[in-house]
Amino acid sequence: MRTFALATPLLAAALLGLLSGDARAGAFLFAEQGFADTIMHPGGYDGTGGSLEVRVCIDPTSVNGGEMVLPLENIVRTLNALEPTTENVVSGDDNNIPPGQIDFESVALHELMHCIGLAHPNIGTGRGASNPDFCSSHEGPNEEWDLDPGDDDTGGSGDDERDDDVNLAWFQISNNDPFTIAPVVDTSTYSQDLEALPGDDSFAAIASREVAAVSSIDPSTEAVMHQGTHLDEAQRTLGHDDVAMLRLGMAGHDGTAGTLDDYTLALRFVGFTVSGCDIILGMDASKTGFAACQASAAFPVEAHGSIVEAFVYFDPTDDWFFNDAPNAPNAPSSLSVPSLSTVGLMALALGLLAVVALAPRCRR
Amino acid sequence: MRGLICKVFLAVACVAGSVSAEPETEVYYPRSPGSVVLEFSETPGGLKAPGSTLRVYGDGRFEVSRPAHEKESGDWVGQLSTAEMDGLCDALVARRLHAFDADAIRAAKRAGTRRRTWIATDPPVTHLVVHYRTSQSGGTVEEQTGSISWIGLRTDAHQHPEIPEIQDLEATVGELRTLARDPRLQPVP
Repeated sequence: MRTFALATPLLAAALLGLLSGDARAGAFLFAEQGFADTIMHPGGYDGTGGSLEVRVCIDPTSVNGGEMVLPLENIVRTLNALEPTTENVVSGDDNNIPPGQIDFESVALHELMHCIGLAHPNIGTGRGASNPDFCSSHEGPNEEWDLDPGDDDTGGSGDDERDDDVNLAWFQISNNDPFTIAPVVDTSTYSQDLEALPGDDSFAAIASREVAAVSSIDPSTEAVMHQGTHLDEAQRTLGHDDVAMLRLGMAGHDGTAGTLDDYTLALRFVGFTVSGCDIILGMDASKTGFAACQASAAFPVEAHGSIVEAFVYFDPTDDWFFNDAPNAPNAPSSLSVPSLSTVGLMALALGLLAVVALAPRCRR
Repeated sequence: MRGLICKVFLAVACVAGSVSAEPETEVYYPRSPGSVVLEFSETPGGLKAPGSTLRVYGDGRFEVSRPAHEKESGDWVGQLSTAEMDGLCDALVARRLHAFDADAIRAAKRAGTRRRTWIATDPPVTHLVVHYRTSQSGGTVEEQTGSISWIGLRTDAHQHPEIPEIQDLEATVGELRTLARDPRLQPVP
């Protein structure tokens, strides 16, 4: 949902400049569903530049709804800040997750990013490849995965020999380095076309911890969108590739940063409702055996699509850990979020508009 | 109807219809206590850890093993009634899971593939193994095993209503997911 029209090209360009740092190659949702070269945008984007508000809600009927609030507020701040980080995989005694539990905030961040348009930079487990950690791709004309990791013996790096596999990930044209980010992120600096790879590189490099290890980067660095979380592992901040892909989308339908159709991402946690939401989170064992984003999309413009409706489901039979530590020193406490019963009463008494007006919590 | 046939014609086994290639061949699931009828598990798509496993025996005993990251983890055991076991066997036979041809069904999927505008991310991998017997008209009985591995079953069931085999598999798996959380399960001491 759009809140206000905004940003001159100069301001957009300035914001992009401020956000420059390191990054990596990533991919967009629906690339594997027949939209290989399509850039996906969050719900509500229609080509009009400005601040794009994405309203995030918790299903009021979901179990653990109250415990989701603080992690979700953290996620909203993380995505609105668009700050790339390294060493963002925190394991064991270095995190606050009890052994054996799964970090809700980390998984929800990953799924929420699916629901605003991003896909896995790696093939992942959903495609039947023998190694899911190679760069996202199609099998190509021979209908077989060609997964030669090259001289570094590491799948997902720039020297992979993939024969006729078709690349789906966007990489930085200047260096195919998943640990740097271009000063300006748009279709002039990022590409899916392997012909645009620099030097001797043969395939797009992705931001897995394995590729980090062979790239002299701390191996506790990985894109949030890289599929596959481990138990007792927190990954609550964005990798550079995550930021780069979001910014690539924010260059708008014309694919050029600094023009009038650019948008800035403004997620907002609305509260416990299913009305007026772009993304609804909830626990539902009938929808997933772990966690999933279920989304539909529209493709009104060539090579661009937008999410129409999105849900993030979690399996309530899993042993989730709900982070209770705000990720900003002066972050509003989740205690100030209207309770489920309060929201329900307000909804009954004042109608949905009153709920929407009273519930907003997160600010950019 | 199949339940009735099952009860009428065989006292200790669930009779199937016939296998299409060999009309005189009967398919049934053994009902003795030591016989494993099926094994079921799902590997979560986004988690590098195994999911829970379910094993059902011919006498209706069923065992569930849940990994540490699931609530109520550990080993559990339950018991299906005879009627429930009849129903399960009949469903397995009627849905012809013993004859599930994954390659052919994937080909049918590909043939019908078009641009999809709906997605469910991080799909799990479903594993189902059925242990059945075939009985020839000449009296020969053979032990058989059918193994199914399928990625993104929920998604495919949503996107391919025209493929009955996928619908049947999803229906069966849905029942097995429920069974794996059956309230009658008791922890194994």
